[in-house]
Amino acid sequence: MPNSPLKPGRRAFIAAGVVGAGALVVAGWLRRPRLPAHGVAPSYISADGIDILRAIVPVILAGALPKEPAAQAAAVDETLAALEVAVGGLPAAAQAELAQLFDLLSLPPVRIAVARIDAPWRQAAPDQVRLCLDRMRDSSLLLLRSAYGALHQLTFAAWYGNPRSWVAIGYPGPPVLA
Amino acid sequence: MSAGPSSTIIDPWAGAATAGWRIVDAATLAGATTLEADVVIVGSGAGGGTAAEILADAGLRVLLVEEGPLKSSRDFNMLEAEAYPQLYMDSAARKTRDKAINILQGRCVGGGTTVNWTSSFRTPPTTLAHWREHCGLPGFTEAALAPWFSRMEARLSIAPWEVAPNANNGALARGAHRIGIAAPAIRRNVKGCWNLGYCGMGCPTNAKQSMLVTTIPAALAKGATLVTRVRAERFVMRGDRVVALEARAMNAAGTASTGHRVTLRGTTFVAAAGAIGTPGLLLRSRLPDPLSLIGRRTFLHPSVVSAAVMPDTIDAFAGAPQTIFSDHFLDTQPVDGPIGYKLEAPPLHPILTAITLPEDGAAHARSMQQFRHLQVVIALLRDGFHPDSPGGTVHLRDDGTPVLDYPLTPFVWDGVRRAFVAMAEIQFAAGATSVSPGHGSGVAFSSFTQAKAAIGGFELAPLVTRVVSAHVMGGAPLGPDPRRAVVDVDGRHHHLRNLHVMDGSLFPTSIGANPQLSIYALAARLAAGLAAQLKPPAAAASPSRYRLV
Repeated sequence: MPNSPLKPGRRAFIAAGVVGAGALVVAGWLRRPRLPAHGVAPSYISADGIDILRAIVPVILAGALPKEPAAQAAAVDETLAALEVAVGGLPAAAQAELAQLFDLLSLPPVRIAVARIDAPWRQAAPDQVRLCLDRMRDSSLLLLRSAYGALHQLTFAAWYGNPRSWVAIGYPGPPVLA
Repeated sequence: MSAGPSSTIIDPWAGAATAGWRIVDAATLAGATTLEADVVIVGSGAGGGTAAEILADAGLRVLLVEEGPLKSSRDFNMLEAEAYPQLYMDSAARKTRDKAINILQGRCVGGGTTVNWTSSFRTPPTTLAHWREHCGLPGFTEAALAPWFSRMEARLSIAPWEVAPNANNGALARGAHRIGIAAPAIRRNVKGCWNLGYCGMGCPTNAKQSMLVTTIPAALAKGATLVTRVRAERFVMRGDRVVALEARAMNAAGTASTGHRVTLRGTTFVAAAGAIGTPGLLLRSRLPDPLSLIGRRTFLHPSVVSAAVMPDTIDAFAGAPQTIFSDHFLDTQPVDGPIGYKLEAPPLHPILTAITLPEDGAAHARSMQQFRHLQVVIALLRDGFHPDSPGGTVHLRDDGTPVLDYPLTPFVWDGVRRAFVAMAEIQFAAGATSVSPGHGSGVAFSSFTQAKAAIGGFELAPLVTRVVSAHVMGGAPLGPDPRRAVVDVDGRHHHLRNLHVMDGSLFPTSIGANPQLSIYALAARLAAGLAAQLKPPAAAASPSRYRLV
């Protein structure tokens, strides 16, 4: 049966997920307010969050991004920029939850034990990120599934809002009004 | 693509300054501000927009308060990336409390009517019969409501859509016909429609007869004042009356308050902030609510999606978005039995499609490469008619913003499973080469037999099964009994003499159809009643009612 949320093989991750849920609360306590440096626009995503997204976005968009390395790097940069704008448009409560998620995932014990990414996010191996996303999506914990849902929605909205993405899907863009 | 039949696009807002319309953009206010009028209306969507015109027509001074910005056809460029943050609540990413349902709601002048897909249905007779029998509303007969429907249909040019459906809707019609179920055309509120397909990003040609181009300009022409980018915080009570609405100016992006207080004084107040916003506002105001009715029985039409790949090009982004429907699975079973559902075919644009398709990575990219061949049917479930379908509850977060808690029960999942089967059957009958129900990892099936067997075994669950909704109803229901309803049959709060509700939160159940026309008609009826009461013909010239500070 497709994608049962309760497959026995996922029990280990379920256990880790319970730890994760607790850690989410801890991460909330540990959060420090981020003050933008003078003259720098306020950021809606922490530096840790950007590192995580830089690892995750190319995996979520695998197969959709341009193949040529320079174009691909530019597309990822543009997606991250659009993502930042999109997060800025979310209500404060949703922004806070997202910040908590990034704070949690950036804690080394959580990154290693729950996300099972053994290097810092900047150096995360794409195949490990792929498995991490699969486990979040298929978790029995609503919380982790909702985290996957947020990453899915934000990333795809950021990329498919970009006209650069439209060629591959054959979307001609909006009509020109005479 | 070439443009449509009409050569000129007339933006009613282009001449606002010369016409002397009173418009206050609260984002530009430099300090605390107080405004005063006869009637303060919170929300400029289907309810507030309708009420504003009727009350202004009666000679009352109206203040129309909107949290979102004033955007018009000059701004509507058909780009999702710009439209969703500007025109929708929470950038079109509003979620139920557990994040399992994505809710599309407008937040701009005209509210949902500015961004909806123009589907216009009278309240179904079965829904009205249920209200008469079970919700203490014996007056809600088709005959009694007909004049109000007719009035708003005339006002908003609601008429049959005679143009051939686009291929996406055509496939729904064809598949339904082949399996022997009825799939008629949807009436639409358009005038000179160019058949572009971008209603959801704000109509760029002003063909859609939303509040933005009809009742609100008319109200302003009669002296109403529109205040945009201001968030209503709470009603201030004195005894059994509301004396003011406390609000905060929003920043230009609409993401946070500028901190400036806006106080709106009036003799009468109308809550029309939608079925999450209105209960939220009433809860924040700590109004008398001895039985905790406010926010309870708030309904969506929980909607699920079935994506098919068709051999022919569908281009579901082009052409009027929702023009064919089937009520077969509503009409062939009792309204208070297992949950029924309405079938429609939505528009597909890149962002909305990409965030709705399950999976990610290469599998998602392959689905998106079929974009021009994608045909999508949605099933909108009719919630609230059965003891096992109590809907959801609006709560307040710690920061005072409302959130809808909407448990998806076995009763709802049962309907979801039947809907997945029905949609797959219709899509295969229409010629689909594969069908992928919006569930789990989005497995595609190549035959109806295969799909039906697999759907029978789906473990349907929140955030495993994709659930969306564009309709929010209930939460401040109307009815004669204060033990069951928040407002009386005239829309007046049961405990406060001068507070009225005129929006989708009035409904005691979901509608079982796209709700805009139900809201227009009920708001028109309640606003006309309020106008008659506040402004009896003999007192029409009383100068004391014309106050604006």
